[in-house]
Amino acid sequence: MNAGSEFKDTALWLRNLILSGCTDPISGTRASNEKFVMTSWPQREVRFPYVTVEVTGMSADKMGMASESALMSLPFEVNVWSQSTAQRDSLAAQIIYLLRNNRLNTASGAVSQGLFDWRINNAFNLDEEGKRGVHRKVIEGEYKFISM
Amino acid sequence: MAKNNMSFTIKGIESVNKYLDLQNNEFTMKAKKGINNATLFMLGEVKQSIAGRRAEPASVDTGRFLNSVNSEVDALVGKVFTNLNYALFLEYGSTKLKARKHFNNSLRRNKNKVQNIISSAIKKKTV
Repeated sequence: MNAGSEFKDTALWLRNLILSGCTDPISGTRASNEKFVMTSWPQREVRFPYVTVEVTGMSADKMGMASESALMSLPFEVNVWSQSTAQRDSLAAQIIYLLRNNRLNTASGAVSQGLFDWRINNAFNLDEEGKRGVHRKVIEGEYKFISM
Repeated sequence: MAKNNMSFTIKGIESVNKYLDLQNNEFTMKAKKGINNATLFMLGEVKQSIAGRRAEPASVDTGRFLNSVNSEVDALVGKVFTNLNYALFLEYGSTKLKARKHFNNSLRRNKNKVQNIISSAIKKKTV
């Protein structure tokens, strides 16, 4: 990951990690122009389930009074959208397991991107009402990154 | 062989303990004041955000959401909250609405200010 493109690189890395490690329950019927994991709020029609990943903010502190390096905190949000609570919970658990187990691998884990000190701050349900209401799990986490 | 016994007495322990208790009470009182001020500040910030005076889009129609935001301080914990059930959808979005993050963004924007308000209250000298 490069300093100056932290948001984009982190979001893309998270997206690729979830795509490669998470089973798409409808992969057999998903069309080629449909996405299972997205890095933005979908503007077009989508088929459930799907996952959105966003880096939602940033805070940075200088590494020293005479240093141009900064210790950054990159909070992210993973949303699992489904029409079934069981499917929502299963996908969310897979994602948290993936994030937890891909921290220290120096070839492909978070440290290979310069991301460390992973934490999940909150995970909660946000379900829309009604028979056709969408079930959603919001997973809020963060990584630290040293920008040099 | 004669045994040498040594004993010592510490004087003033009671008054030291009294002094430390006083300091602790004063610190706690100042911290509570700081947290109270910080909570009121954050209440104002969240309401400004809902009214559209910060980076987020305004979420005001009938004013029900704006007026529902309240604050509470309990011991050393300050809370800014709303009890409306649709507030979560305004905050985190839904399939029909993009997230507006009034609470989250207000907190992120003002984290340092909140820390400064509390530390200033603690550092303030009492006459």
